[in-house]
Amino acid sequence: MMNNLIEIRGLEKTYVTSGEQLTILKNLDLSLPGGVKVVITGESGCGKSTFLNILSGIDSVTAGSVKAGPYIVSDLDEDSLASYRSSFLGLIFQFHYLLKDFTALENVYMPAIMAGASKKQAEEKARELLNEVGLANRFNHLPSQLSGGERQRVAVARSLINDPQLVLADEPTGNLDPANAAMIGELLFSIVDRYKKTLILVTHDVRLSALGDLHFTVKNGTLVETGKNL
Amino acid sequence: MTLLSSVLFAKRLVFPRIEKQSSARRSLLGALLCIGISLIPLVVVMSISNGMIEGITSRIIGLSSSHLQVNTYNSDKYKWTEKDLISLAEKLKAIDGITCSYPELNGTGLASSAKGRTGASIRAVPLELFTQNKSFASLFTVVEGNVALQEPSANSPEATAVSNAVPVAFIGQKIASELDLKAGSKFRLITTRSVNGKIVPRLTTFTVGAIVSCGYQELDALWVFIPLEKGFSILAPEGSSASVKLEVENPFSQDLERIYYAVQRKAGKNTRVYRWDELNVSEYENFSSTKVLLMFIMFLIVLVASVNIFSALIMLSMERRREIAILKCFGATKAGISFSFLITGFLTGLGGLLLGLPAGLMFSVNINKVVLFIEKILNFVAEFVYLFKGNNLPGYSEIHLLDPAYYLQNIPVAIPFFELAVISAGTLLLTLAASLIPAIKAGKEKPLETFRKI
Repeated sequence: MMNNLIEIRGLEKTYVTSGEQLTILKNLDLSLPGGVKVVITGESGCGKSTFLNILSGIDSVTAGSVKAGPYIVSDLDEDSLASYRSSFLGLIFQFHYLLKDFTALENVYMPAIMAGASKKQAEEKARELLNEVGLANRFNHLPSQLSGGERQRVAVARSLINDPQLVLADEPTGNLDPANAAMIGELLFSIVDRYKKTLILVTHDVRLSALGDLHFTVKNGTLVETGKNL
Repeated sequence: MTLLSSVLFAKRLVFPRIEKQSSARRSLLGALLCIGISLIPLVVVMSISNGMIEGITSRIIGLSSSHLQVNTYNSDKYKWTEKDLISLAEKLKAIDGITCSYPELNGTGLASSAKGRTGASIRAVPLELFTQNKSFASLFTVVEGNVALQEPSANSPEATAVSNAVPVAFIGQKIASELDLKAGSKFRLITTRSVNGKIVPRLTTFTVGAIVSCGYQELDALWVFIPLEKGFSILAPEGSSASVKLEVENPFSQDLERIYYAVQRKAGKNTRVYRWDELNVSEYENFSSTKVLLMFIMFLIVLVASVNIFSALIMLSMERRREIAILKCFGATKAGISFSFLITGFLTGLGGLLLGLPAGLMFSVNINKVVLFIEKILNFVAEFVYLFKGNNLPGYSEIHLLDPAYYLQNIPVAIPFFELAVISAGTLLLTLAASLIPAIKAGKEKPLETFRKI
């Protein structure tokens, strides 16, 4: 229990829209050790992305507590959340969400500079990561000059720039063709494996599910373990 | 979020690599131009008002009140004579710090010529002042004739005029034009004296030795300079004031106070010493308050222009919501994002300043040429309309934007460096203030809400 990287107890998330209450997540408990690769699947609208948003601090909880490493995410104010995202977390979205005016290299090193690294250090690390995702010849290209797969590879590199303990990926292959999706999926798992990071991946892609150590599905607002590859 | 990351983000807000023609970008450029354009009249007005104030002040101090003035007054026991005044001037000249000392008798009279009559402020001084005194030599322009009385060239008409038995006078340009006088012309000064309790007029003929101008019509319209000894003979003691005027190296320095007390000690009985700022206190305060008021009014234009930054940054923050959300997902703080927008607003203000300040200075320095150019264009159009209406051109009277008969011959310009520094700092502070609310708003963007909307 003490060594778990993630501890979630009694998580509940309810949205109130037009006077109606919609509970997406309820009584959700989860304990995860560090270094595991978790895959979460489930039907559309079941609350997978909401769960990741809460874990990343982008969304708030209605009830319960979320602890990630030393951070009690559910209690953090905005500045502490910024520090949590900057030092502990790496995020990959379904859409690449790259900064359109920044080159691939700049997109990757910006989070490092925001975290306090010098430009030289950040650039060096970003080059290394871009090399690793196979974009050594695309450093100075803008997102608009990259293909969908390349953009998502930049996003993978960016998620690792601050050496985070936890990587959250929300359907990272959802917008890609099958060939690129397979390639990005494999790249993500291999790179996370190599850097010994904890990965929580939300996906509909069955092939990606097979690459995880733990499999969960969201059912009736809570996580149900469906498989183990440990 | 570090300062460097805020600067890097601000750099791309100001100089985007794509979507360079976005609405927000156009608004920012518009705000920059508005600030630049609003600064031009501010700089021009400040430079001209400064030039006018400096010009008037230097002329009043240099030509009228002088730096220190020792006024004399007669009592039952003591009456000031010409000899006493000259001797007092000589005595005071010996004080350390005094660079020039001269006696003067002031009175009023009526100047009369064949063309007409006009009131005159008669200043009886040693006429050598026009060549020997620094202020007189530099601030007066000799329009006609010669002020060098000591050694006139042998056959010149001025020399003839000077050598005549009729005393010589130097008169202001405007008074000369009103009386239709030229160098060498004769005119009369009518003064009054009290004889046995009756006011008796006295007519004295003078030759115009030179027509002079100090550039300010108000002063040129009044002054008639006559020799000191002549002043004592035609001006009644009860209607005139005798004084010794003193100049120092720098009338604006603290040393003036020391010299003032030294003069007070040495001047003796029946005298009173005044500093130039005491004598011209009302004018000086009037100039200062006018200048501050002008600056305030013109600064309101910059204030209105700065509001454009507010709306441009609001647009920019809406346009860049996606980028803000992305940066926040990777560790950007509210303050860091706000700082990027503050830098953007500041750079817009700085751009406006760098545009408006040199343009305003160029305009100020060339204001006389600009006015002349506008006059030419106006006259060209007006002449055309005049002829088009079937009139003959000889009947056309020219348009003068700056009527020299009214106040000035030229628009004086003095670049007010201190005020410009205040204006620059004020503009930048204003732009920062205008950027504050949009910057705070940008910092408060919530990533989740943004991602749901885009």
